Amino acid sequence: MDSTIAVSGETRATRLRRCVMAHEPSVCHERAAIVTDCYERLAGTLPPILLRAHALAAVLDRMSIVIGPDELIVGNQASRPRSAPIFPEYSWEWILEELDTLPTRAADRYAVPPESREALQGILPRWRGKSFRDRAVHALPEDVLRSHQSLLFLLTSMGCGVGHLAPDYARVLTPGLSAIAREARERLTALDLTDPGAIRKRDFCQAAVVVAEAAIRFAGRFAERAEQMAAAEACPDRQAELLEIARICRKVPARPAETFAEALQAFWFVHLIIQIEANGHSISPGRFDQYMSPFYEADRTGGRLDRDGALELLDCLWVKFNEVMKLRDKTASIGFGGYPLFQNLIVGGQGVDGRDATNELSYLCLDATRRARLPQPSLSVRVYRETPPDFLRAASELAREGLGLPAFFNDDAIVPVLQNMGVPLEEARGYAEVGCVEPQVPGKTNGYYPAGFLNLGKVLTMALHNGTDPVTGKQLGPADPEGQGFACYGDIVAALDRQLDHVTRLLVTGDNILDELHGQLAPNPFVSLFVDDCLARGLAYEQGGAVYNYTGPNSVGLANVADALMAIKRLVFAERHIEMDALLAMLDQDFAGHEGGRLLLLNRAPKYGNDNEEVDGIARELATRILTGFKQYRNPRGGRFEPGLQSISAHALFRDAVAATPDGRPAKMLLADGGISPAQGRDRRGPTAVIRSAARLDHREASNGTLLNIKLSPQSVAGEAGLENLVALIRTYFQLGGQHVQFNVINSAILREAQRHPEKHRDLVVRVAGFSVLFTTIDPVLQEDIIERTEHRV
Amino acid sequence: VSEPAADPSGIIFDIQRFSVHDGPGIRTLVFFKGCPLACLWCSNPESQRFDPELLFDPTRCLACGGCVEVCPHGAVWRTGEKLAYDRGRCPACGACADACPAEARTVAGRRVAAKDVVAEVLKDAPFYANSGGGVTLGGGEPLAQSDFAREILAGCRLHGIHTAIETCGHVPWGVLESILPWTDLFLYDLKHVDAETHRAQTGGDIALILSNLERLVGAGASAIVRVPVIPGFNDTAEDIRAIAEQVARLGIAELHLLPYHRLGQNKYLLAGRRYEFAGGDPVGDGTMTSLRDVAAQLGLSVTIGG
Repeated sequence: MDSTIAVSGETRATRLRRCVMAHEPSVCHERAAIVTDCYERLAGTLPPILLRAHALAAVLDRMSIVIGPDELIVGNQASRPRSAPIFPEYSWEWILEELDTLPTRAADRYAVPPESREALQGILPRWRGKSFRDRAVHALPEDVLRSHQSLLFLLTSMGCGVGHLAPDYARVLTPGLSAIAREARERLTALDLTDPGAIRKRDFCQAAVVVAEAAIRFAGRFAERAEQMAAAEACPDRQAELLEIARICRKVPARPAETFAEALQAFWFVHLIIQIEANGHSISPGRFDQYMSPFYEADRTGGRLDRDGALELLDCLWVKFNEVMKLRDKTASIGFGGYPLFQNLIVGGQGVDGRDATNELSYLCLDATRRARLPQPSLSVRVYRETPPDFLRAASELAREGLGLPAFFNDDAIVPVLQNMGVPLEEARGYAEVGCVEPQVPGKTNGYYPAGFLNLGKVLTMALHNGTDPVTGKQLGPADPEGQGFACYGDIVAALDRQLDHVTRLLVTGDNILDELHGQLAPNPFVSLFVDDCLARGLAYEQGGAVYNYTGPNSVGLANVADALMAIKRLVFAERHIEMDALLAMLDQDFAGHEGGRLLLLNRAPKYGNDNEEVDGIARELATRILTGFKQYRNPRGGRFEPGLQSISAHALFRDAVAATPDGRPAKMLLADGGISPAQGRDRRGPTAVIRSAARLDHREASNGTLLNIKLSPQSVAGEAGLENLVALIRTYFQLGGQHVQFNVINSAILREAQRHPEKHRDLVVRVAGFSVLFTTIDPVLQEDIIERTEHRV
Repeated sequence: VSEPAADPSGIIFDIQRFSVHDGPGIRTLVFFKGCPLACLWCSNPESQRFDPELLFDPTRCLACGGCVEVCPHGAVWRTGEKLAYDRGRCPACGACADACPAEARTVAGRRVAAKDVVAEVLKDAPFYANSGGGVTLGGGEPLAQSDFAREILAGCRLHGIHTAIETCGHVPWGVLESILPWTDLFLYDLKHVDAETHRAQTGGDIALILSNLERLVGAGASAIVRVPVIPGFNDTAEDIRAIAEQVARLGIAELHLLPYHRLGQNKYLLAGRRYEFAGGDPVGDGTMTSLRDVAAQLGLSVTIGG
């Protein structure tokens, strides 16, 4: 056992990080084997909620457990670090088909050990006709399925859990799982089984007891293992650590945590088990600095812990966040590239009383991310009028290190958004972000954020082709039997509206069917313990047990469509540079032989992201049109559709599915990233212009969040003055009403890419000497010069 | 204090927002066209002449011929697959630039009203407020169009915007005096203190520049002196010490040393001109640091870069 902290001079975090990241992502079949066995024995005899409970209990009792060298926080998701458990009850066929290509595919590769391969080949076919996906495919109408397959939209909860929540972790810290199990038992005893609602409640409460007790046993297994390891450990320091791990795991998550270490361990067990129970991603720690702070403060006040000790514990936890894996199919590996788990941990912001709630732990979380230099957790920072300048500076300092972390969120915009959704002010002030940018009341919400991504680029091309998708040739939308004529710009907008209405209905239909199926087939009892009012209502998270129930679909390619509408409006109908028929012909030929025409569309009409009121106005109108279109619909859990504007990396997935568009974008070129970011390379007037354009959208309507990426060169935010400028960008965007912003502080690799593809990076500002320039406008020798300087300065 | 004239206009060639190295905070930099000096190393060759000029980038040209159709001067014509262009016949009217989809032909320089420049500057007002930034007039030489410059400065000031001007100081004192009430910060170029050397390389009179600076300081203006460090011209310790001594003597606290670069080389080609400066390679980081130390020894606060 390696316990040579003093000798090596390395921190524990460095060793843990290296140890974990040395494991290449792989597939683990253990969970699949246990769950399959369990379902085959019990499926006919138990209601789904109890079946799920017993399957989870079996996994927690039987799966391999591991305590790694140097670990202080324990608990593994599968048999090796960074190995992905399999959830065949959700979907299986694609795994079988892709077993051979998982290790070699283009994005997010996974090793498949021979024993896992063999086991999965045996296990997976046993799910034929029984998995969630098998049922979903039969339940979805043909037109919905066809639209999904053609990537008119992407349904993202057909073959995995719902996930996407900030659980109420505080309740495992106090009172702990034993008390929760006790409450469930008391409710059981109190039930009057002649009451028709009581049967459902009985099933739910029984399931609650099963999973709460299984989680306590799971922790007990770690205690036992730690004791065994301690007995065999030669190094006295490590031996003491192992005995402390054992002590903690005997205490939490069953009983209330009292120390910071106990609280972190209890948190981790819950966070982990939710991700063993089901494979919905975006399980978000939420306001970690708020619910953990009492434990940290108590340890500090009691002299049990110093700042460094606390940071070391956070280091251990931060590495753990990166051990969790989710296997995705080939399509999703593009749409969700980079092994993301979206574990959004948010610090800072106001308390329920409206006063600043930033505390010492908020700062420590920034430090932990700086030290870890790892993608998870998805660190976020809440900012509002009264956020301490020191804290915003510290967060900005981290942001300019180039990790893309933290993301910044604006209380002053988001709290009113939640109030508009019917949330009382005090609860709205306690919001957390889930996944990327989805705001919610933590511990009370099923926002159903995996409600899919609408491909606006394709909707536009369908509008120009009377409902036909030019890529597949399929009639995906409504057609005018008389054929289409575009006599004026208004005709274009009307055609787009018509397709938009249609595709909105299709996506809502798909969402509601899948939502309903999740409630029927895969209610998850463990996660439901951490969401109000599941236990009281006897309804799972997926069944409407939450206090707040939304459905949050997203739209991709807003900037492209706004730019395209602007180009048509200006160049076809106002200035008559080009005939509509000629434009359509040019698009159908993917601009082959029409480079001049393409550049005309690209360069001769204003583009969103340059602080131009006309095209920004088109973007605003379009965004509001899309958002309000969704808001008229309701979901099976009694809630409303609350849409947002974000893309994750769905814009990459949609790339091949969108024909040439009138913004001068050829087929197979990426749609705009982010959600409200300008199309790549088209924002040529710098970040202040981008911010003013983005702020022109109506952020109050985007109740599922807006996502703005801004690229900055490291030089433009270097030094004390640069830091203040970064802070000013954030402050100003938020004063103007933006919800979220994150920064890519560009390194030399991007500059290299910019050399190869200057057309995509025309917005890149670099510092040369006494002033700044657009990188792509300077000659190659100087580009070379700047790249070299950047490399040794950053 | 003279009142600004009614709605003057002038020629600029760019307005750059989020300019973060030309005065404090986030700024908008207005590039004036035309300069009384003619420094060989100038990195903005399109800033030197007072009239609009056509920039042509052959690497972007599609040879679509749109320019041939619209050129009223017969300055562009087709020869086989390619296009030919005679700059001698081109008054840079911009008809071709308007017709060019590829941005191969652009015009550097446009006449704009001061109030329109102010309106553009005001767009980023909240960014200035949060960062302590504002507007900076640069170029070119803003004071070569002094009524226009004064109108912009005054217009911005009336809206509470911090104002700065980058100037070579080679103007009659009365011009500086007239903008003084509207200017919060002077970024004042000082390239060399030897009259002969200065005249030979820039075409300007250092005595005028120095006396203007002295009078500015005497009038209570806030100034930062900026020195472009040019190889073979002013890159020795003696050169910098001599400049720094003047700066210290005048009681100016801050000095910026701006390393020479070849950024503008390509723009000479686009403007159909030759880059004639042959002073040598940019001054290295080590030399810049030692030059900074030389000036710092005189008690100045010295920054490399803006």
